[in-house]
Amino acid sequence: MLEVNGLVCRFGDVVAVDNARLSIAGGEMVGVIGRSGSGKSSLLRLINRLYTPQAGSIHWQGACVSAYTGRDLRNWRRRAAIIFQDYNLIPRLDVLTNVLLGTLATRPVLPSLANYFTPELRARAVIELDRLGMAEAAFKRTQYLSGGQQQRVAIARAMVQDPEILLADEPVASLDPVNSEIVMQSILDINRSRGLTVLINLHSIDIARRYCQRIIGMNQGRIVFDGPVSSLTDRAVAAIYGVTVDPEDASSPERREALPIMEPLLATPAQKVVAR
Amino acid sequence: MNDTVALSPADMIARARARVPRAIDIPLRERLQPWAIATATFALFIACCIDLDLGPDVLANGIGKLGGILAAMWPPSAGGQWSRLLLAIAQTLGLAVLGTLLGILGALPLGLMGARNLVSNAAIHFIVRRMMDVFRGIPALVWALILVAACGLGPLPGVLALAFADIPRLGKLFAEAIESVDRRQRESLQATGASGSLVIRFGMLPQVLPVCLSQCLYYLEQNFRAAAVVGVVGAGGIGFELNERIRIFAFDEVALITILYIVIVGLLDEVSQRLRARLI
Repeated sequence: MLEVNGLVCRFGDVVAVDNARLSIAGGEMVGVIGRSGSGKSSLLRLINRLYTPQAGSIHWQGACVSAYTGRDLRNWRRRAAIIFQDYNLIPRLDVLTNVLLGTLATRPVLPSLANYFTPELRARAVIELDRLGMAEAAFKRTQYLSGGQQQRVAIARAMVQDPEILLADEPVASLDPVNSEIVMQSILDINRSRGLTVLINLHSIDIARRYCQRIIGMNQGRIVFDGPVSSLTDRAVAAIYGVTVDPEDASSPERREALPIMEPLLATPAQKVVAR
Repeated sequence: MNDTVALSPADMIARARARVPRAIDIPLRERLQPWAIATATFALFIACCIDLDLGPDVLANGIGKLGGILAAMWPPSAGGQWSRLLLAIAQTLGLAVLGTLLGILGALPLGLMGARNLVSNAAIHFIVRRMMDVFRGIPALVWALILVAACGLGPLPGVLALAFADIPRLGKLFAEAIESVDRRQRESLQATGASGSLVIRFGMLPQVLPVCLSQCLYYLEQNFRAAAVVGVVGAGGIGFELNERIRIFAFDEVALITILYIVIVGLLDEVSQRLRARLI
């Protein structure tokens, strides 16, 4: 169980995360939505402790992870695996080595520095890759892979970390619709088959609605919505995105013209492509 | 929870081996490669030492003498010639600035002619580029030796040596900067109906100028260092003074000149770095 209380993160005068409070039970798949700059990415980076909060606390299974330093901190980062919008792989290294990087936190430093990984670790990496349909590419350099393939390599890297929670920062924002579905499906499978808690930033409301059970909405660093997917009405979406829309008005043609940006957000369920 | 953890290591390895054999059984050649490279590098090091007759005894002897000189350097002293030394530093700075400016002037036409996207004539492009390649091999010190022999001691051969060394290098950098401009910016200017010179002025210059200026500043830094070396062979400035002091074993003055020089180089680097950061 993840508990975040009164979390604050500032960069100079900009408040990225403002007094955030949330609680996530083990095994949940939670989507975070909001405009660019609403603090979604900062929230994930705070939980993984890539950023240090100025105030507030983060607890995981009762332990205060926001107080961790040194070895404990690095071990927490391993347990809270993160995948990024732009994959953040090492392009000069092959796929297998990229995946093996996920094991660094738990291995002795010297062999790793010499780029030595035990056969057991390499087997583990191959199996994780194989599950994501990427075993064939094990010896390719990641720079020659497509975006969807790179994101799957990044997921494999996260999986060999043996994480307890998976944080995904806009994992499909740079992908075309087909690859988005493949990657989202992989994340959902991981959530279902391994019972792994997933916190995922998305900027497509449609994807968030289809894949997540619960949605958190952020606006200007504050959590302004937190509820099951069923309670995410068009009105709630408009509030999260800081646009006031009268629901009766929203469907009228004039209103839509005045608010072209709301079009995709207000997509009706009938327009959705059903995955799987 | 995690089904891979449930697999025994042996099972896991067997499964992975069946899927991607090379990931488990790394070919012998690949495993030996790092060792082979390390051994070859060490062998090369030893071979070079033998070639240069560098035994441990030579090394110990040399370090002993170096210690003596270091001791003679303390305390640093200006030998009552502060104004002369500062003047020499100023002269070296002048050498560097003039040398760089002349270098830029000479490199500009070459850079323009060497850029394929400006000069479509393949022959001109080829000749200019090859000429620059040939002359790029000659360092400032060699130019200085030749020019001191040709026009005598003094700052003039120093300035020319720095400029001659810079022209082919800067020319190549300019040409490459021009060639790597974003074609789309040029296209958008053409699409407005602007004439050729205006396309270059607004579609290319804004991209090329900061890169070139930053390189020029970097060359100014480099030339201040090179100016001291060039001075040693008789082209004036601080290098000349340094050489004189070494000849008469005035190592305390050598120490002061060196410290002074390091301070100026540091200042120049700092200023140039800030300017360059602002340019890009």
